[in-house]
Amino acid sequence: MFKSHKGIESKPSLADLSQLKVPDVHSGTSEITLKKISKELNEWGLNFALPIVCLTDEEDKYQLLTGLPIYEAAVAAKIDRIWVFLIVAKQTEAESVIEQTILQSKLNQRVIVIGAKDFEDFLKLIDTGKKTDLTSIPGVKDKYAKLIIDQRPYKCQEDLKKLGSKRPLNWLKAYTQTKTYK
Amino acid sequence: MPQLSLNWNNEAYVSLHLVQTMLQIAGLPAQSNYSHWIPEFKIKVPKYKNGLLIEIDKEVDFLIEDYSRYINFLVEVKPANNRINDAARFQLEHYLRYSHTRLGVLIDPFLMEIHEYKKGYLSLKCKYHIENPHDVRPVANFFREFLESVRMRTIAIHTSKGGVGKTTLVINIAYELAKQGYKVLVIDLDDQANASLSLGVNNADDLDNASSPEEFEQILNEFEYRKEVSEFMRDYVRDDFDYTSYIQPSPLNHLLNMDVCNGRIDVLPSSYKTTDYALAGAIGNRVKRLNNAIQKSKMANTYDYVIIDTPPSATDITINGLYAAQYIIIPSQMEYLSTYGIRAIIKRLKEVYEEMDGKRGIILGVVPMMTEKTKLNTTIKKLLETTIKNIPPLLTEIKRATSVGQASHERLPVSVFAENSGNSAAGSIAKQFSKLTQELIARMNQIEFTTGK
Repeated sequence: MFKSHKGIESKPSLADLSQLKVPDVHSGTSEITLKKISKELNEWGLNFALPIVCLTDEEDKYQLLTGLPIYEAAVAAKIDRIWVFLIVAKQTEAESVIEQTILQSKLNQRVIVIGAKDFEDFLKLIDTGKKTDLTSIPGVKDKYAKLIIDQRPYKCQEDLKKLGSKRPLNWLKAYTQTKTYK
Repeated sequence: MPQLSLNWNNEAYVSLHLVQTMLQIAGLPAQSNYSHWIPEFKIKVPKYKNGLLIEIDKEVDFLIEDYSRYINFLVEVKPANNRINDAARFQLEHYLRYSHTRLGVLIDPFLMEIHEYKKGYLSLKCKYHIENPHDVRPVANFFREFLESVRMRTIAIHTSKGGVGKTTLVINIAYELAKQGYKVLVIDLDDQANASLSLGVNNADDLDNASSPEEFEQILNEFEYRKEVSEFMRDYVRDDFDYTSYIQPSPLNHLLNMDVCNGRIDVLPSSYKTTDYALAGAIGNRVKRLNNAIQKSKMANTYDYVIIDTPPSATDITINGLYAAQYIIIPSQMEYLSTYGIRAIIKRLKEVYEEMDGKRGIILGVVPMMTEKTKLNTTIKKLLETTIKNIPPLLTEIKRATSVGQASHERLPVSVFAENSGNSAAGSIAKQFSKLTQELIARMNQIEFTTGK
């Protein structure tokens, strides 16, 4: 749609921070998170997630459409340039692509492979674990821990359906992830 | 649109309170040793009358002569109740054509338009919306900036083949221009940095005196954090961009100052860093960064000429040089293979010329380099003429001489080398460079003031 215009292409690009037009608001991201990102930006000298920018009326100036905290962290880190994804269109047209980019970033998750052993461990944890063990699974809060305990026993995959169709699968993924990358 | 008093419907009132005040604030007084107003300037315009072509006198409100910038322009004033319109533009085009003037200003209490007449066409250079005609200063500032922006000439030396004497041409043209009192900036885009070295800015002395390859390497490594042409093309987008911190004066300026002349040569140097890698990933148009950087820098306030030394290749860096240059000079040896290169260059430049609406990529001509009195040279000239359509003019040739190499070894322009050494062969080469430079200036003047006939 907006692939290129006047020798400029839609693609990942290095932009100087002074080239980015940013609304005069704060993203509201916590200081701690920003500091953490700043530190990594300084260490690596580059950002891994790309804010989306689009054209403005001024040549060499670009409107920041997403990723305000990344910009804020870069400013705090005093680095000159960040990687952005440039969409060669003015803001009104570019907005139509934003939804797609946000969906894509949501899907840009860690690749998780669940092995047979992971499943066995998970099932055992659900079946016999204490409440505190259960709440160590990301996404399982007190209420769900109580539900899990109330619905015991769980001996096979079929039994997990007592907890809902999708919910146990999400917990399994989250459990495997924390176990793998601890 | 703001309501203005009826006074602004009176052309004389507009002229006095807006236009004349603006010219004065912009640094162009009515009578001075560097500026001159000629009110009600008469222009002879041809007209058919009873089947006969006769000349009639037309009057334009002002002809302004700006000697300091070598710019002449016409000014046509319009009142608030008869504003700038297509009829006024058409009339201005006529005036510019028949007065052989390049620039014309149309101004009313709300708008100023600056037009350029070039090669038979009128084009709008820029316009300025006047917020309040009582407040002349912003208009004057805009106008002054415009004048500054048109005075500088940019010339790229470009060839498709290495070793034809490109850098020799850059150094000697730059020196000849500086000798005439012009302020010259040499922009080196070649990662071999020959122009930078020859102009004495790339630690040339240290490199000459290096005692081992390791020491040589170490000196080169010092360029890693130096601000030079690749950083210039990267940083110009910053708000605090100051081009002077990327530029170095050439030691040749000492020789120029001895002659009590105002000319000088500065260098925007290159090094091994000056490759496409330096531009990789940069947001926006890849090949117009140098052009944009030169404009943003406002170096036109300082320099009369920018000479760009491009690498003999078709990299993005090279193309940046072509998009930044109003004029192109093609040095070429008069030998079989070089003529093939010229074809490719002309094709490349045609694209630049068309994309930039004729404001860039104008070929001044081909400079035959290292020519000898042989039959082959003449044959090649003939070959050029038969193989290339619209062949660019062949300019003053630079003959082959060992003194050119000797001068290069001492990092001196040929004319200085000739003077120092009393070498008569060098003296005659120096004359060729001087003649070539005159010819280039004359051609640029002619192109800029041409009426398109």
